[in-house]
Amino acid sequence: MKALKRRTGQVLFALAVLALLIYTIFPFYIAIVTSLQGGEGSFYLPQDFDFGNYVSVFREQPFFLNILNSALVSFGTVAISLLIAVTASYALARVHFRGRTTLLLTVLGVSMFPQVAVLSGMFELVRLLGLYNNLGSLVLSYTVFSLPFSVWILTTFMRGIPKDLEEAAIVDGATPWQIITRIFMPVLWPALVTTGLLAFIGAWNEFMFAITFILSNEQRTVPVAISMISGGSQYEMPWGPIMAASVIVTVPLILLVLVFQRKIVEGLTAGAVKG
Amino acid sequence: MSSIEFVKLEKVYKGLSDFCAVKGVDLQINEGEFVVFVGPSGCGKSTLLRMIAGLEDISGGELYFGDRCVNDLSPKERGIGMVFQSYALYPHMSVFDNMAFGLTLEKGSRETIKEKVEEVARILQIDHLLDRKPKALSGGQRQRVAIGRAIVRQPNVFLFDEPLSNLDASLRVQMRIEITKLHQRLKTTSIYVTHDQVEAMTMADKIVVLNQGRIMQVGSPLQIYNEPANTFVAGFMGSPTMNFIDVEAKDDQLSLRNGQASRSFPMPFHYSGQATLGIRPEHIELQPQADAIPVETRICVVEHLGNETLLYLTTDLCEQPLVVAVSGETSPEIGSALSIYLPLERCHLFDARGDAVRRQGKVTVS
Repeated sequence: MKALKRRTGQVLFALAVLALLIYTIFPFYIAIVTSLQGGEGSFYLPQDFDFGNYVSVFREQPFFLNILNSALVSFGTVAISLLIAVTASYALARVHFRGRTTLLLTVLGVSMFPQVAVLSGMFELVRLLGLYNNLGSLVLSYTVFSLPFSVWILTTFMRGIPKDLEEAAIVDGATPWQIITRIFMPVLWPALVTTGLLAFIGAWNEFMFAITFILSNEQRTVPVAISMISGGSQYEMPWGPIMAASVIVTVPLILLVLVFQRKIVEGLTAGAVKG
Repeated sequence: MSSIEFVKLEKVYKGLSDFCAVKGVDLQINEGEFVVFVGPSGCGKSTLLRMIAGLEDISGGELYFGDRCVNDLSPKERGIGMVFQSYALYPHMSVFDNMAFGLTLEKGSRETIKEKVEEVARILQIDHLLDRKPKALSGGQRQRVAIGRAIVRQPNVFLFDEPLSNLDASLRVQMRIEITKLHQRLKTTSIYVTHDQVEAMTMADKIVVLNQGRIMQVGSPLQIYNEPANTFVAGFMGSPTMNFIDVEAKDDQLSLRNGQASRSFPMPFHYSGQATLGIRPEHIELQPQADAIPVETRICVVEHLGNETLLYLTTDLCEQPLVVAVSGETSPEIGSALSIYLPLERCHLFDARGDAVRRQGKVTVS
């Protein structure tokens, strides 16, 4: 009786896990299967194995250029926002000055505005700086949106670094910049990877600014380029090429996460001062 | 190497109500001396150390290294080496890089850095650990690396901020001896902060006892033990702590505030008024003595430490039980009566403000 009860429990648990798996993986499964089929429409079961869609994605638009643009914008965003966030969070976490808490709360408050709310203001700014139809406009706007959370996450981590470590470096004769680059950044490595990854994903997938600030095909980033893929006629959705393109641009993200995942875990378990 | 002089050094933390952590401290530390700052938590000893290091701003007074005022100099310019309580090793660097960090910032050549680090590592017997990361070291090894990092730049002054409090008891004794040996070898002026009086007594050339931001007494370990300047020092240094008995002194006569009858004794102090008599547990005798105050007591608690036995005795002289340290093992019956004798030679007298009354020479009890 007891064994039966345990058995049913296990079966129910397995079913729940299965349901969850199907629920999360199904969209990706459809995307991959559809991308591999010739012809129109989406498919539930793979019928043939055809890389035609992948080839056509690159043939019919400057898709390689689009990927390059996306990479440029994303890496640029990550680099600039990490640089600013690290220096800002050092000040916010370590230097005592008047209005520190107010400043932190303002930073948080800014990040609560929805993208649409700042779109027109951002557009004016982009025009003013002469960045319209330039990838610089995207780096600028993505940095604005990734900075608040980067600063918050890094400030929290920076506060967790023992004060002794900083003072040991001061006694060793390190300047604030040397403390940041030679001591704090290596210690904060897992936090930097996490915030960098989040900023990267945000920039890589962003659509609204990308479609507003960029005009020409050659300057487009991937999400916009995918939305511009058109079929044989006005009434036909070219699912095959769209899915192929989506798979192509998701792969770099997955690779990045896989590469850094181990580093993140390693860093978190390393332990900073005492053991 | 240099001597250090404090002139009316002060530290005030500004806030809603200003908190004064160090109040007008004057102190002279000679070149090559090993000075221990000791006191209860919050007495300002760490703040004082950090002011010497340059990690804490000086609110008032002057600090001299030799004859150079260093108030506005950075820690690096002062030429100090510091060992932190938490070791504060850089977790991502190897032992070698940890020790070499300060030297690389000074842009020394690779060979000289390697030479210096290896020499210090040999002295501290950590030369086989140079490639390891701090997480792969034991507590004692980390402590050695932290000391090595401080030594390698050949500082004028060594500062230790409770460096042994994270180690276990046996390792602490071992490291204590090694730090003392290291000081004998390097002869660098050293300041050592601790709340452990055993460390203070064993390591120091000079002990500075601090309380509430003020210096209570400065002196050699034995001076502090034998001639405490006030009740605070007398009660803080020594374990178990000194017994205090309220007494009244008049015309060189001491009367105990005994419940039933008061008896007077001639005393080797010249003082009149309310006073406190202090005597250390290890100085109380169980055998009748000449020139001693006899006290009738009752045993309430017995603590066996192996090498000695502590007896807690209730008397009608004071509310706190008197503590007596008896060498060896004895197993007296709890509740039984015991006569003890307080030799006048070993007694300390403190006036109403708690300051020690100076001794007047030998007096005999008739």
